[in-house]
Amino acid sequence: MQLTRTRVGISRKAIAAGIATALLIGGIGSISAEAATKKPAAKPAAKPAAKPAVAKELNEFLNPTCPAKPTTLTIASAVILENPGGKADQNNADEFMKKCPNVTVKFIGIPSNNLPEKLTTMAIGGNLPDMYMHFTSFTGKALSMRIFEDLIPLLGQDYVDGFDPLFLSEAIQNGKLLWAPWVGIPSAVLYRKDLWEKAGNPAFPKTWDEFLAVAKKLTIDKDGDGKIDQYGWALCGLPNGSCAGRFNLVVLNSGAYPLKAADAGGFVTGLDKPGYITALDLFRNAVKEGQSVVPPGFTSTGYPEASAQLATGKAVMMTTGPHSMGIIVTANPELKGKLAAFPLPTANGQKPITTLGQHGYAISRNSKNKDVAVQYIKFMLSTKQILVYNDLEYRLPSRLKAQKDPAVASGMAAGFVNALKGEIWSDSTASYLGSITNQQIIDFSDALQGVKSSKDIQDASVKAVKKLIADNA
Amino acid sequence: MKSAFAKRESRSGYFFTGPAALLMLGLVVYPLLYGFFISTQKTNLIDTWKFVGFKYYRQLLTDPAFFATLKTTGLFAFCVVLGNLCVGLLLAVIVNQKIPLANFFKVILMLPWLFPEVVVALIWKWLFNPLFGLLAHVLMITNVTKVEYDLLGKESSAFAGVVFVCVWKGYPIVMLMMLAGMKSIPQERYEAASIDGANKWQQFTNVTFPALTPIILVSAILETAWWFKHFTVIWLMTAGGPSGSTKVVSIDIYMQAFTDFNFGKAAAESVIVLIILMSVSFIYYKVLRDETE
Repeated sequence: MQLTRTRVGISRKAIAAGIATALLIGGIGSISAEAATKKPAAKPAAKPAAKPAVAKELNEFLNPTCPAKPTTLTIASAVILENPGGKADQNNADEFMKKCPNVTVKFIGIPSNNLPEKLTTMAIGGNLPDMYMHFTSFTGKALSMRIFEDLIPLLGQDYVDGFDPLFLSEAIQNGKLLWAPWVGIPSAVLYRKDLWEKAGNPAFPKTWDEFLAVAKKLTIDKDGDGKIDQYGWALCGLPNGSCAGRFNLVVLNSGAYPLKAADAGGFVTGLDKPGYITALDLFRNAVKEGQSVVPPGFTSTGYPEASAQLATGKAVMMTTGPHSMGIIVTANPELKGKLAAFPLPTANGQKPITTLGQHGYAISRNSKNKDVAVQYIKFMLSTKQILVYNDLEYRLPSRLKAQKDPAVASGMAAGFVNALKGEIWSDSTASYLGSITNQQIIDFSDALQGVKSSKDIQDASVKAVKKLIADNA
Repeated sequence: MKSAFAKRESRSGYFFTGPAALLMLGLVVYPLLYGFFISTQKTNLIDTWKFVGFKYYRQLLTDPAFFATLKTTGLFAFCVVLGNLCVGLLLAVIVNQKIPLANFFKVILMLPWLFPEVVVALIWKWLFNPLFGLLAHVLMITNVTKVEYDLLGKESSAFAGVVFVCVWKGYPIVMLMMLAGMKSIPQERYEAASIDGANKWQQFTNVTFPALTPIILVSAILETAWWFKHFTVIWLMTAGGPSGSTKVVSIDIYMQAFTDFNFGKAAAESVIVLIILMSVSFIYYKVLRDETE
């Protein structure tokens, strides 16, 4: 299956030109450049002479230009509510306010699963904050509502070229930079090294069947009281967007896909592929009564609960990004150094597919403080500041210079960074992507219930998604 | 022909009722008309407006999924209203007796109504949690279940779970209305019934219940309207799942608007719900009027 990174409405020439330009100035050596499915154009042998002071300033930017009068910069953020990630967001604000005492940074905390709805409401009400957090799944809606400011003229092409091209390929749409990428969380299978060793160091599963077999091996009665107290897989079964994302990873690695741009224009779904049944069967079989490899209460288990299951040793594996390690180590500091990751299994031995899982900050088109917002973005993306977030939650920085820091790709994060060597999937930009996600939520919930057959679930899903595509054509 | 004084009086009537009428127009009539207008548009409510007529009404009225949602909503409203009426009436009868600490119990029994719906939903969601909740723990230690019971995670029990929580939240107001109604029943009727040899149950069926009928009907109208369009508790506890078993029409409207980004269709669905509730209210009103006459 060939993944396409080209979206409807964007000329391929524009993307290729943008990526080639980024590489000429940004340089090769980023972690993701070698992993991207679309290999960027080769760097020319003779690089133009760099201007050291400007290059340093582009990446460090620790002395922002402060506004002349007192300004309040409002930022809608999901990260500010998270622990420990919120400390990075707050740190950026605190440090910026020290540099510019006449600026007050005010966060509007919105849980990530509610962010699209809340931003939509704010946009309709005409009261979007100066900056808002952007996840790739929101791209279609942002394009449809036209709520963002193009950041290329605001940040400057030189600055934009300092981003990892992989991040830019999702953030640039129709030649415009919709948001300033901050960090990414490539997905893999996170596991407890200590519990893995206790189980005899089984080989990393390459297929979903092997994954289920390993999970069964890891599902044991630790204390001999006749009750299972360690499960193989912390499955995220709560009917929300973040669990749907994890289900989607299984779908992608089973040979199916939710939605992608069709070659002839429009969008097409791959939920009718046999791989979708494979994914549904995996979920169904993982929770089969009497043979479950998943802790009970999986329909109430969201991403924080699943992370807690790993932290407490209730489960051993979890499909997630490196940020879960931040939560786990915060909950159980003894686990520092005892977590690692391996690539996602696949249904038929194909190259594993992962997602970049990036987010960043966009500037609202109607913001009256765009200059201050630009200064804030450049400040928070400086190497020193961006590595605070990486240190807390192991998230991959978007800036090429920050990625060179040895801590970024080593230790517990290595497995996640290596996941980028596989295929990378990007969300489609259809404005109704949320509806597709909702359908997938219904599908994996049905699979977990075990009442309907996977074929029936697939048939109903394909019918609903095709109707969505037709209604929105 | 009206005298000058009469004319001045009628003009002053408009003057005094004008502000209230304007308020009604602004807060009630305008949103209704605007909602209907949106239902005829394909729009993002920002800068895209395209007239589509009754397209969304046709889509909804020919969509089996919409009717399934209406059925779930009707069943939910029926169960909750019935539960509230039964529990509220029963508790009103009990606390209306001359029992020790009756006033204290009245206050305690009112507490669920005083809690915000969000708090109620989150507390009960936690109590029903299969890993950490009280219900699962009690079922395990009493050997009713062998594994942790996930009440909100099963299609068969999630609906009952949300109905239970809504009844727990909603019975106090019904109890209060019934109590007020009981206080207005003349004591002489009970004395007369007692003299005629009626026992407690016969007094209830022949004196209390008939006297409370208008209040029961009014409660039923209000409760049906409230619970038919209920959103908060169900959204927080199950978000319409699992597998759509608790997906009521208000959740569907919310998802149409903020997930599917289809504001026109969401508005059309809201208009249909309005028509349904107006019809139900009209039926109740006719029954109540007949009862009163």
